[in-house]
Amino acid sequence: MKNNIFFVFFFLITFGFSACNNEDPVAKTFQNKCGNCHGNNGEGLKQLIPPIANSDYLQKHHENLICIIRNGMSDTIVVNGIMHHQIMPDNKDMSVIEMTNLVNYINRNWYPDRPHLTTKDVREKMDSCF
Amino acid sequence: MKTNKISSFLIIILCFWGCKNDNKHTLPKLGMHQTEDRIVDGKTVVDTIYHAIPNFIFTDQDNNEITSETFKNKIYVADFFFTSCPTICPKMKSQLLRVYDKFKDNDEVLILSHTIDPEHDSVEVLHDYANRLGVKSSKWHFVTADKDYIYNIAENYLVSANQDSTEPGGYIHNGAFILVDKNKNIRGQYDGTKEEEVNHLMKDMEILLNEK
Repeated sequence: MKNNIFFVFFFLITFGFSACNNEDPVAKTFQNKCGNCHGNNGEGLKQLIPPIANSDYLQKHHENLICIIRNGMSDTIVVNGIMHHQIMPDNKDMSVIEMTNLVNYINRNWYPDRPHLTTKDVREKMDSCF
Repeated sequence: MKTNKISSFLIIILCFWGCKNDNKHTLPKLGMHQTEDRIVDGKTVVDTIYHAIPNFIFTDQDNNEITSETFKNKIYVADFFFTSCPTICPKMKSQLLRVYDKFKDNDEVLILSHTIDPEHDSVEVLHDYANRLGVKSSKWHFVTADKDYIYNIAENYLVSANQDSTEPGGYIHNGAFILVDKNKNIRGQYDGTKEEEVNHLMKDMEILLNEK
Protein backbone atom coordinates (compact mmCIF):
# COMPACT_ATOMS: atom_id res chain seq x y z
CA MET A 1 0.00 0.00 0.00
CA LYS A 2 2.75 2.36 1.04
CA ASN A 3 4.65 1.40 -2.09
CA ASN A 4 1.66 2.24 -4.26
CA ILE A 5 1.40 5.73 -2.84
CA PHE A 6 5.11 6.17 -3.41
CA PHE A 7 4.71 5.20 -7.07
CA VAL A 8 1.78 7.54 -7.56
CA PHE A 9 3.86 10.38 -6.15
CA PHE A 10 6.85 9.43 -8.23
CA PHE A 11 4.71 9.33 -11.35
CA LEU A 12 3.08 12.69 -10.64
CA ILE A 13 6.40 14.41 -9.95
CA THR A 14 8.09 12.99 -13.05
CA PHE A 15 5.08 13.83 -15.16
CA GLY A 16 4.98 17.35 -13.69
CA PHE A 17 8.63 17.98 -14.50
CA SER A 18 8.43 16.58 -17.99
CA ALA A 19 5.39 18.77 -18.66
CA CYS A 20 7.45 21.83 -17.67
CA ASN A 21 10.40 20.89 -19.85
CA ASN A 22 8.29 20.00 -22.82
CA GLU A 23 8.03 23.52 -24.18
CA ASP A 24 8.15 23.41 -27.94
CA PRO A 25 11.25 25.29 -29.20
CA VAL A 26 9.33 26.20 -32.36
CA ALA A 27 6.73 27.91 -30.17
CA LYS A 28 9.58 30.14 -28.97
CA THR A 29 10.57 30.92 -32.57
CA PHE A 30 6.94 31.75 -33.32
CA GLN A 31 6.78 34.09 -30.34
CA ASN A 32 10.01 35.84 -31.31
CA LYS A 33 9.40 36.14 -35.04
CA CYS A 34 5.61 36.52 -35.21
CA GLY A 35 4.19 36.87 -31.69
CA ASN A 36 5.53 40.37 -30.97
CA CYS A 37 3.03 41.78 -33.44
CA HIS A 38 0.49 39.02 -34.12
CA GLY A 39 0.28 37.89 -30.48
CA ASN A 40 1.66 34.68 -28.96
CA ASN A 41 -1.53 32.85 -29.91
CA GLY A 42 -1.63 34.37 -33.40
CA GLU A 43 -4.74 36.33 -32.44
CA GLY A 44 -3.61 39.68 -33.93
CA LEU A 45 -3.86 43.07 -32.21
CA LYS A 46 -7.38 44.53 -32.34
CA GLN A 47 -7.89 46.05 -35.80
CA LEU A 48 -4.25 47.12 -36.06
CA ILE A 49 -2.53 43.83 -36.86
CA PRO A 50 -4.33 40.93 -38.55
CA PRO A 51 -4.53 37.48 -36.94
CA ILE A 52 -2.55 34.48 -38.17
CA ALA A 53 -4.99 32.14 -36.44
CA ASN A 54 -8.22 31.46 -38.32
CA SER A 55 -7.59 34.09 -40.97
CA ASP A 56 -9.76 33.85 -44.08
CA TYR A 57 -6.97 35.62 -45.97
CA LEU A 58 -4.41 32.90 -45.13
CA GLN A 59 -6.97 30.19 -45.79
CA LYS A 60 -7.40 31.62 -49.27
CA HIS A 61 -3.76 32.58 -49.97
CA HIS A 62 -2.10 29.77 -48.08
CA GLU A 63 0.35 29.05 -50.88
CA ASN A 64 1.79 32.56 -50.31
CA LEU A 65 2.45 32.06 -46.58
CA ILE A 66 6.17 31.27 -46.98
CA CYS A 67 6.78 34.24 -49.29
CA ILE A 68 4.82 36.56 -46.97
CA ILE A 69 7.00 35.53 -44.02
CA ARG A 70 10.16 35.81 -46.12
CA ASN A 71 9.48 39.13 -47.88
CA GLY A 72 7.13 40.83 -45.46
CA MET A 73 4.15 42.77 -46.77
CA SER A 74 3.22 46.31 -47.65
CA ASP A 75 -0.06 45.70 -49.52
CA THR A 76 -3.43 46.63 -48.18
CA ILE A 77 -5.30 43.40 -47.45
CA VAL A 78 -8.68 42.46 -46.00
CA VAL A 79 -8.62 39.86 -43.24
CA ASN A 80 -11.86 38.57 -41.74
CA GLY A 81 -13.66 41.65 -43.07
CA ILE A 82 -11.17 44.24 -41.76
CA MET A 83 -8.85 46.23 -44.01
CA HIS A 84 -5.20 46.22 -42.91
CA HIS A 85 -2.33 48.34 -44.20
CA GLN A 86 0.34 48.02 -41.50
CA ILE A 87 3.75 47.18 -43.00
CA MET A 88 5.11 43.74 -42.09
CA PRO A 89 8.93 43.50 -42.02
CA ASP A 90 10.77 40.81 -43.99
CA ASN A 91 12.55 37.79 -42.53
CA LYS A 92 15.17 37.26 -45.21
CA ASP A 93 17.67 35.93 -42.67
CA MET A 94 15.44 32.97 -41.75
CA SER A 95 16.95 29.58 -42.65
CA VAL A 96 15.10 26.85 -44.54
CA ILE A 97 14.90 24.71 -41.40
CA GLU A 98 13.57 27.58 -39.31
CA MET A 99 11.00 28.42 -41.98
CA THR A 100 9.93 24.77 -42.30
CA ASN A 101 9.42 24.42 -38.56
CA LEU A 102 7.58 27.72 -38.36
CA VAL A 103 5.17 27.04 -41.21
CA ASN A 104 4.46 23.52 -39.92
CA TYR A 105 3.81 25.04 -36.49
CA ILE A 106 1.34 27.53 -37.95
CA ASN A 107 -0.39 24.79 -39.97
CA ARG A 108 -0.50 22.36 -37.06
CA ASN A 109 -2.13 24.98 -34.83
CA TRP A 110 -4.52 26.79 -37.15
CA TYR A 111 -4.62 25.11 -40.57
CA PRO A 112 -4.65 21.40 -39.68
CA ASP A 113 -5.96 20.40 -43.10
CA ARG A 114 -2.70 21.57 -44.70
CA PRO A 115 -0.06 18.89 -45.31
CA HIS A 116 3.18 18.68 -43.35
CA LEU A 117 5.99 20.33 -45.36
CA THR A 118 9.53 19.01 -45.78
CA THR A 119 12.61 21.22 -46.00
CA LYS A 120 12.72 20.38 -49.72
CA ASP A 121 9.19 21.76 -50.27
CA VAL A 122 10.06 24.87 -48.33
CA ARG A 123 13.39 25.49 -50.06
CA GLU A 124 11.70 25.31 -53.47
CA LYS A 125 9.02 27.72 -52.35
CA MET A 126 11.56 30.13 -50.81
CA ASP A 127 13.58 30.12 -54.02
CA SER A 128 10.47 31.06 -55.98
CA CYS A 129 9.72 34.14 -53.83
CA PHE A 130 10.71 37.50 -55.22
CA MET B 1 19.93 28.92 24.96
CA LYS B 2 19.36 32.47 26.09
CA THR B 3 20.93 33.84 22.92
CA ASN B 4 18.60 31.60 20.95
CA LYS B 5 15.57 33.11 22.65
CA ILE B 6 16.84 36.61 22.08
CA SER B 7 17.55 35.98 18.43
CA SER B 8 14.10 34.44 17.87
CA PHE B 9 12.60 37.47 19.52
CA LEU B 10 14.61 39.76 17.26
CA ILE B 11 13.59 37.81 14.18
CA ILE B 12 9.91 38.12 15.12
CA ILE B 13 10.31 41.85 15.69
CA LEU B 14 12.07 42.18 12.34
CA CYS B 15 9.25 40.31 10.61
CA PHE B 16 6.64 42.63 12.05
CA TRP B 17 8.74 45.64 11.16
CA GLY B 18 9.03 44.31 7.63
CA CYS B 19 5.26 43.89 7.38
CA LYS B 20 4.63 47.33 8.78
CA ASN B 21 6.92 48.88 6.23
CA ASP B 22 5.19 46.97 3.49
CA ASN B 23 1.84 48.49 4.40
CA LYS B 24 3.28 51.95 4.19
CA HIS B 25 4.82 51.21 0.81
CA THR B 26 5.32 54.40 -1.13
CA LEU B 27 6.79 54.88 -4.58
CA PRO B 28 10.14 56.61 -5.03
CA LYS B 29 10.54 59.86 -6.95
CA LEU B 30 12.95 59.28 -9.81
CA GLY B 31 15.45 61.67 -11.35
CA MET B 32 17.83 64.26 -9.97
CA HIS B 33 16.92 65.90 -6.66
CA GLN B 34 17.82 69.43 -5.71
CA THR B 35 17.73 71.03 -2.30
CA GLU B 36 16.78 74.58 -1.54
CA ASP B 37 17.23 76.40 1.76
CA ARG B 38 14.33 78.35 3.08
CA ILE B 39 14.13 80.50 6.23
CA VAL B 40 11.08 79.79 8.41
CA ASP B 41 10.79 81.66 11.73
CA GLY B 42 14.50 82.43 11.68
CA LYS B 43 15.44 78.78 11.13
CA THR B 44 16.81 77.30 7.92
CA VAL B 45 14.61 74.58 6.45
CA VAL B 46 15.91 72.42 3.61
CA ASP B 47 13.35 71.68 0.89
CA THR B 48 13.92 68.87 -1.59
CA ILE B 49 12.88 69.68 -5.12
CA TYR B 50 12.20 66.55 -7.15
CA HIS B 51 12.63 66.19 -10.88
CA ALA B 52 9.35 67.02 -12.62
CA ILE B 53 8.13 66.93 -16.22
CA PRO B 54 8.27 70.52 -17.54
CA ASN B 55 5.22 72.13 -19.17
CA PHE B 56 4.52 70.78 -22.63
CA ILE B 57 2.27 71.27 -25.60
CA PHE B 58 1.39 68.63 -28.20
CA THR B 59 -1.25 67.85 -30.82
CA ASP B 60 -3.23 64.63 -30.38
CA GLN B 61 -4.99 62.22 -32.74
CA ASP B 62 -8.11 64.43 -32.84
CA ASN B 63 -6.03 67.52 -33.68
CA ASN B 64 -6.63 68.81 -30.13
CA GLU B 65 -4.02 70.73 -28.22
CA ILE B 66 -2.72 68.63 -25.32
CA THR B 67 -0.81 70.44 -22.59
CA SER B 68 0.36 69.91 -19.02
CA GLU B 69 -3.05 71.32 -17.99
CA THR B 70 -4.74 68.28 -19.59
CA PHE B 71 -2.99 66.18 -16.95
CA LYS B 72 -3.85 68.41 -13.98
CA ASN B 73 -4.96 66.29 -10.99
CA LYS B 74 -4.36 63.11 -13.01
CA ILE B 75 -1.77 60.41 -12.84
CA TYR B 76 -0.63 59.16 -16.21
CA VAL B 77 1.43 56.56 -18.03
CA ALA B 78 3.70 57.85 -20.81
CA ASP B 79 5.54 56.00 -23.54
CA PHE B 80 7.43 56.65 -26.79
CA PHE B 81 6.72 54.69 -29.97
CA PHE B 82 6.11 55.00 -33.70
CA THR B 83 3.26 53.52 -35.72
CA SER B 84 5.46 51.75 -38.29
CA CYS B 85 7.66 50.18 -35.61
CA PRO B 86 8.32 46.56 -36.55
CA THR B 87 9.86 45.39 -33.29
CA ILE B 88 8.60 46.08 -29.78
CA CYS B 89 5.80 48.61 -30.29
CA PRO B 90 2.91 46.22 -30.98
CA LYS B 91 3.86 44.32 -27.85
CA MET B 92 4.01 47.58 -25.88
CA LYS B 93 0.63 48.60 -27.23
CA SER B 94 -0.98 45.27 -26.36
CA GLN B 95 0.38 45.66 -22.82
CA LEU B 96 -0.73 49.29 -22.59
CA LEU B 97 -4.18 48.17 -23.68
CA ARG B 98 -4.32 46.10 -20.48
CA VAL B 99 -3.64 49.28 -18.48
CA TYR B 100 -6.28 51.12 -20.54
CA ASP B 101 -8.88 48.39 -19.96
CA LYS B 102 -8.25 48.35 -16.23
CA PHE B 103 -8.42 52.13 -15.72
CA LYS B 104 -10.68 53.29 -18.55
CA ASP B 105 -13.46 54.30 -16.16
CA ASN B 106 -11.16 56.04 -13.70
CA ASP B 107 -11.22 59.81 -14.27
CA GLU B 108 -7.91 60.26 -12.47
CA VAL B 109 -5.90 58.21 -14.99
CA LEU B 110 -4.71 59.10 -18.50
CA ILE B 111 -2.31 57.58 -21.03
CA LEU B 112 0.09 59.60 -23.19
CA SER B 113 1.85 57.99 -26.18
CA HIS B 114 4.40 60.16 -27.99
CA THR B 115 5.41 59.35 -31.54
CA ILE B 116 9.14 59.61 -32.17
CA ASP B 117 8.56 59.61 -35.94
CA PRO B 118 6.51 62.81 -36.46
CA GLU B 119 7.39 62.96 -40.16
CA HIS B 120 5.44 59.79 -40.85
CA ASP B 121 3.04 59.82 -37.90
CA SER B 122 0.78 62.73 -38.84
CA VAL B 123 -2.42 63.47 -36.92
CA GLU B 124 -4.31 61.36 -39.49
CA VAL B 125 -1.97 58.40 -39.06
CA LEU B 126 -2.24 58.62 -35.26
CA HIS B 127 -6.02 58.91 -35.54
CA ASP B 128 -6.20 55.73 -37.63
CA TYR B 129 -3.84 53.92 -35.23
CA ALA B 130 -5.87 54.85 -32.14
CA ASN B 131 -9.11 53.95 -33.89
CA ARG B 132 -7.77 50.54 -34.82
CA LEU B 133 -6.83 49.93 -31.20
CA GLY B 134 -10.39 50.92 -30.32
CA VAL B 135 -9.49 53.40 -27.58
CA LYS B 136 -11.17 56.65 -26.51
CA SER B 137 -9.16 59.76 -27.35
CA SER B 138 -10.22 61.45 -24.10
CA LYS B 139 -8.42 58.72 -22.14
CA TRP B 140 -5.45 57.81 -24.35
CA HIS B 141 -3.72 60.65 -26.20
CA PHE B 142 -1.45 59.80 -29.14
CA VAL B 143 0.58 62.97 -29.65
CA THR B 144 3.00 64.59 -32.03
CA ALA B 145 5.14 67.75 -32.20
CA ASP B 146 8.47 68.78 -33.73
CA LYS B 147 11.02 66.00 -33.63
CA ASP B 148 13.54 67.88 -31.46
CA TYR B 149 10.79 68.87 -29.06
CA ILE B 150 9.75 65.23 -28.61
CA TYR B 151 13.32 63.98 -28.18
CA ASN B 152 13.91 66.68 -25.62
CA ILE B 153 10.82 65.77 -23.59
CA ALA B 154 11.86 62.08 -23.76
CA GLU B 155 14.99 63.02 -21.83
CA ASN B 156 12.77 64.56 -19.17
CA TYR B 157 11.01 61.21 -18.87
CA LEU B 158 14.49 59.69 -18.39
CA VAL B 159 14.28 57.63 -21.58
CA SER B 160 16.24 57.81 -24.79
CA ALA B 161 14.71 58.20 -28.23
CA ASN B 162 16.79 58.77 -31.31
CA GLN B 163 17.02 58.22 -35.01
CA ASP B 164 19.32 55.33 -35.89
CA SER B 165 19.47 53.95 -39.41
CA THR B 166 20.99 50.67 -38.20
CA GLU B 167 17.92 49.79 -36.11
CA PRO B 168 14.90 48.01 -37.61
CA GLY B 169 12.43 50.73 -38.54
CA GLY B 170 15.09 53.44 -38.32
CA TYR B 171 14.64 54.48 -34.69
CA ILE B 172 16.14 53.43 -31.41
CA HIS B 173 14.03 53.69 -28.31
CA ASN B 174 13.43 51.68 -25.21
CA GLY B 175 10.09 50.11 -24.41
CA ALA B 176 9.63 51.91 -21.11
CA PHE B 177 6.32 52.90 -19.57
CA ILE B 178 6.76 55.89 -17.27
CA LEU B 179 4.40 56.51 -14.37
CA VAL B 180 3.88 60.19 -13.54
CA ASP B 181 2.01 61.54 -10.51
CA LYS B 182 -0.25 64.58 -10.06
CA ASN B 183 2.78 66.80 -9.37
CA LYS B 184 4.45 65.61 -12.61
CA ASN B 185 7.09 63.70 -10.61
CA ILE B 186 8.22 60.39 -12.12
CA ARG B 187 7.25 57.55 -9.79
CA GLY B 188 8.25 54.47 -11.75
CA GLN B 189 9.64 53.02 -14.97
CA TYR B 190 8.58 49.62 -16.31
CA ASP B 191 9.53 47.47 -19.28
CA GLY B 192 6.44 47.74 -21.46
CA THR B 193 7.22 44.54 -23.33
CA LYS B 194 6.97 42.32 -20.22
CA GLU B 195 3.62 41.25 -18.82
CA GLU B 196 4.87 40.90 -15.23
CA GLU B 197 6.40 44.41 -15.27
CA VAL B 198 3.09 45.80 -16.48
CA ASN B 199 1.32 43.95 -13.63
CA HIS B 200 3.73 45.76 -11.32
CA LEU B 201 2.91 49.09 -12.99
CA MET B 202 -0.83 48.54 -12.44
CA LYS B 203 -0.24 47.77 -8.75
CA ASP B 204 1.88 50.91 -8.42
CA MET B 205 -0.89 52.95 -10.07
CA GLU B 206 -3.29 51.79 -7.33
CA ILE B 207 -0.76 52.87 -4.69
CA LEU B 208 -0.36 56.24 -6.36
CA LEU B 209 -4.12 56.76 -6.61
CA ASN B 210 -4.42 56.16 -2.86
CA GLU B 211 -1.64 58.65 -2.09
CA LYS B 212 -2.86 61.78 -0.35
